[in-house]
Amino acid sequence: MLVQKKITRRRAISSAVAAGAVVGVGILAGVGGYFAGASTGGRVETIIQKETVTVGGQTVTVTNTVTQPTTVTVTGTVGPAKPVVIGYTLPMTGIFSATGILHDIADRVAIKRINDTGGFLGRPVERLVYDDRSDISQIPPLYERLITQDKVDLIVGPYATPFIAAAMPVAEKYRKLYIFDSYTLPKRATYEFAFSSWATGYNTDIEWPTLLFEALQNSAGKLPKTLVVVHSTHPGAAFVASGVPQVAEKFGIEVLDVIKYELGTTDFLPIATRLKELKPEFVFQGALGLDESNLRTALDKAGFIPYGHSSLWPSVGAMLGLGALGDGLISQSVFEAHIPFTHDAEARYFVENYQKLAREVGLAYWKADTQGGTSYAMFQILREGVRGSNSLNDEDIANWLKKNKVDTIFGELTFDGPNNYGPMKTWIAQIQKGEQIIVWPPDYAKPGSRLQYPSPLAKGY
Amino acid sequence: MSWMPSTTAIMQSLLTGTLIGGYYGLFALGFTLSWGILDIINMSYFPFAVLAAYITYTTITILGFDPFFSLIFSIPSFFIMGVLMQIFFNRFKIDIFRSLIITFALFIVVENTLSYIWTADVRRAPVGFLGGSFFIDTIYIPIGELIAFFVGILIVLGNLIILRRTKLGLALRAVAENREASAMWGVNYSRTALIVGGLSMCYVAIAGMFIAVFYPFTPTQGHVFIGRIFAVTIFGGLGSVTGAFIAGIILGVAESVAAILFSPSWSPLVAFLLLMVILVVKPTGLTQR
Repeated sequence: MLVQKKITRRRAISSAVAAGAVVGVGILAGVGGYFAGASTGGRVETIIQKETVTVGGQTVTVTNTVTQPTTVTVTGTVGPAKPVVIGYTLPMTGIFSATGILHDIADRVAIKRINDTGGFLGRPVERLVYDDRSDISQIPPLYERLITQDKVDLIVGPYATPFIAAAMPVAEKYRKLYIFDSYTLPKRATYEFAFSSWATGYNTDIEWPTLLFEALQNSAGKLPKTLVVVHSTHPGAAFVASGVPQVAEKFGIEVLDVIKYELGTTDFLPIATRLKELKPEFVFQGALGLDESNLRTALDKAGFIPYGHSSLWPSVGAMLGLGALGDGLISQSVFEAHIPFTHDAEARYFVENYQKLAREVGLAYWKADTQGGTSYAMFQILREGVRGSNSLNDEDIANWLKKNKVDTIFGELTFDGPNNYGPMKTWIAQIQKGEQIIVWPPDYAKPGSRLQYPSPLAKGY
Repeated sequence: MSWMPSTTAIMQSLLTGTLIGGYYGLFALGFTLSWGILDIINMSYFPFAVLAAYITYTTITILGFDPFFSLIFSIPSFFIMGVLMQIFFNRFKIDIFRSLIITFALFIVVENTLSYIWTADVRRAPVGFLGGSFFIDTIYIPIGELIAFFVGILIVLGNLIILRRTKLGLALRAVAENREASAMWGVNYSRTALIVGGLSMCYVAIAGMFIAVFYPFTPTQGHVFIGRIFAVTIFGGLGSVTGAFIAGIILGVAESVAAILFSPSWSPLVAFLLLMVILVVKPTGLTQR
């Protein structure tokens, strides 16, 4: 028997309003996101540069380490030809958006530079960027869409290791060239057309800790006797941290404990309490984002600061926000806006334009560094691949990259090793007097600098 | 590499777990009031808390004032926003499930607006002594967390006094018990709901201020609290501020002790297993409103 459900007028209006509110709010969210440069799932931005521009005679004023004027000579004029479209995603909203915005700024600078210097094979270059909303489930369908529906000419990777990993099978399925900028699992980048602009090296889990301990030994002149590894469950961080005990043993450093915590942890007081009991001379933190500054704050509250504290990919802005407490924190870096990097004209161009844009959009930390640097280098590699192979064919570019060296803002890169990785070019950086600088190796260190260890802030022993 | 914690470390984790848990409880107060009394699961509280953090950040960095000064701006404005939201919910008779969808949409709007105004960049406010701690022998007591804990206790006590000693409290309890029956006895639900909606948002403003004190943050900082606040709210008993506060402490202590005795990666597992067990034993939560 059918029971007729009575629907009152009020209920009907209520339901309609609720549905309307959801739709309306969704539209508002989209509009808000658009104005924030962050549309949820929609086309964020298309940049087309067609004019011939000469940028010259300007000095970078934000850091005294960049002292030479930048003059960019235009080597080609972009005509009205059909643009070459490069498609990819970025986390413009969601938990990774704080870093996504840095990549977006660097990418804008890179595309402008490409167009200012002749585009790709005489054609202007534009980018088609979708907001992946920091949601990994969005990655495969968005890359499918870019390749099959938008029919972009080329793709590059999104931001962050899990996202890059998620797009890689799609790139492989369509045999697309796949250059990415922030992938930290080199042993899993097995796709033959995959290339990393972040020169982590194939054995970064061994090579980077080795470089760190060499820096302590040679630049600071002292090795710690004891060490604790603290790492998050982020796959890249866990991978690098996994090599530390083995390397530490080679250097005669005793590993007191390995402490693992969930990605997304905000309460670091229990870990600080544990470290205070263990009293290691050095803390190796395999982490990224805000974890380093959160642990540092917790350690300070606990009354224990180790002689040395290193991390991997921290939010530099958050660490500098710690003030004096942030001084001495060690991390990875491929690029900082100082000599010797700024000896290179294109690096100066990048620094100048990145920092200008970053300040315009209101970033608290606006200095050009690793995150933006790897993103810019990603487009440099693509540019050199296209120009070197004289082709927009994915396979042609990939084959050219495998056989040739590419000049980037952080030096010459090669892709002739396992999984197309060349030698590691990821260095030791440290916050000193409120500035992040590279301190080791000497060829890349800021002139006159050295790794500071042990930290004068150390306490609680 | 096996490590056994000392008695001091266990005592320390009990203490810091209690304080951090008190903050979870404080954060959940507005949420549980809204859910338990008004049948509104207000997801927008999370980005609104982050908005309060940005107000605090701006108060500190632009005006150069103490973080608590930001409450002069945020409490009245949040109260008004809470009232306006509740007017909307009342006007269109939004039920519990639709409230979840509508406030989730509002969640996105507020978060995108925060990104628009302050960008997605990380912000960290210099909070002075609130970021420090004092020591009793070798035990450290973090000042900011301690203050948040006592603020939570004050709010719980204030709520208890209102609920048990005032006509408004009587009306609130009646509404929570049975909305229709209370109306028959002369309780004006709409007006009562406006006050609860406004009060809930005031608690969100206070909890949000402490985000700026404790953490570097971005517009998405609210995400990290969603799981815990849902757990604390359900665990404490819907609508019970006392229950939410106690549940927060239990969750905080469970996480902290698990991190010390086992591993920090076990913290969420142990805490939520505990939650499951308690809910099986006592499905209504710890206390009743």
